[in-house]
Amino acid sequence: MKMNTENAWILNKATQEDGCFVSVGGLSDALDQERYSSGSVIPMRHAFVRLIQLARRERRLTLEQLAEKIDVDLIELLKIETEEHFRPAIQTVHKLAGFLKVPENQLMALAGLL
Amino acid sequence: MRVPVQIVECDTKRLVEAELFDEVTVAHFLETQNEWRPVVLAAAKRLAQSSASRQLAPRHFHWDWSSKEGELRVLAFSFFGITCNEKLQGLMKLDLTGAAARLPSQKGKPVVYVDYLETAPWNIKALMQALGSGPQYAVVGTRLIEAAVRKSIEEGFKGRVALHSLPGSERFYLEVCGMTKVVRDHAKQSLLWCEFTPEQAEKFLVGDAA
Repeated sequence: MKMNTENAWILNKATQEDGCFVSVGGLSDALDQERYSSGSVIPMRHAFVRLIQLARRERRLTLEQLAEKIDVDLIELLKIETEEHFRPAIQTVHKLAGFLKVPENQLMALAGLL
Repeated sequence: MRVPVQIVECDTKRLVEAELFDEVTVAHFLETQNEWRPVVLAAAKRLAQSSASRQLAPRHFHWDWSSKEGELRVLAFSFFGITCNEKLQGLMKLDLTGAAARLPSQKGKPVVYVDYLETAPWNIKALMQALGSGPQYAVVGTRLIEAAVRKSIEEGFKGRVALHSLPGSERFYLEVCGMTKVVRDHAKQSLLWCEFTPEQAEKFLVGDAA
């Protein structure tokens, strides 16, 4: 395989690129594994995310502070809040239910786990 | 295959020697787990602390390249990596048999499909800025896409390449590479399906002189 060796082309591409994200595929691959079977789960899922965000705001907690408080991986909380189709772990929802003081089964249903 | 390529050191804007290779092994996957992931996690943590825009949050932090180990020996797939300064700077997986063009002018023709592409987190400006520094090397992503185009030509696909861009990467594929925005693919969470026609691929390879 013969690659481009022209300095001008390389430097021009470097300027255009400017350190941007170039990632491909990870999200879609994850979705293949985590896809929900029913589209009706999505509105409930939004309610689940909204509930967590409101609870954080009310308590003036950052994601990291919440993660530390309930002993959950920060990345998992970040995924819950930013990735529509992310499926949280049952253990995480259990801890969130305890933190929010809401019935665990109802929160599991909102999270799409029941 | 091992081919010398030049990439750009961001601090000095100098060209430095790197190596493009297709003999990707499990050790490279482990390197992404051990070397890349802690940096991505640290940057994600900082971005979360700073309430940064969701656009800046790394969308690929959950990638697990090691799960691809079983695919290393599958002929339908090609893997490419770039090393520089004895570190893995980027990794890409191509599917050579499973996809066809969707652009009306190319519909049904074979494409090289970029299934995965990731550069080391220290080459991504937003992540490094979150950690208080700047990116190390530029054009790693461009070099990997160049390899995808050249692989497409080798396979007789005339440079046709397609991929589903993550939201934060669309500017790179549309503006830097010059691919065509074809469709938001609702079968893939509305990720943008982008394609190179043979003409666009040629233009990408030679620059504005084409």
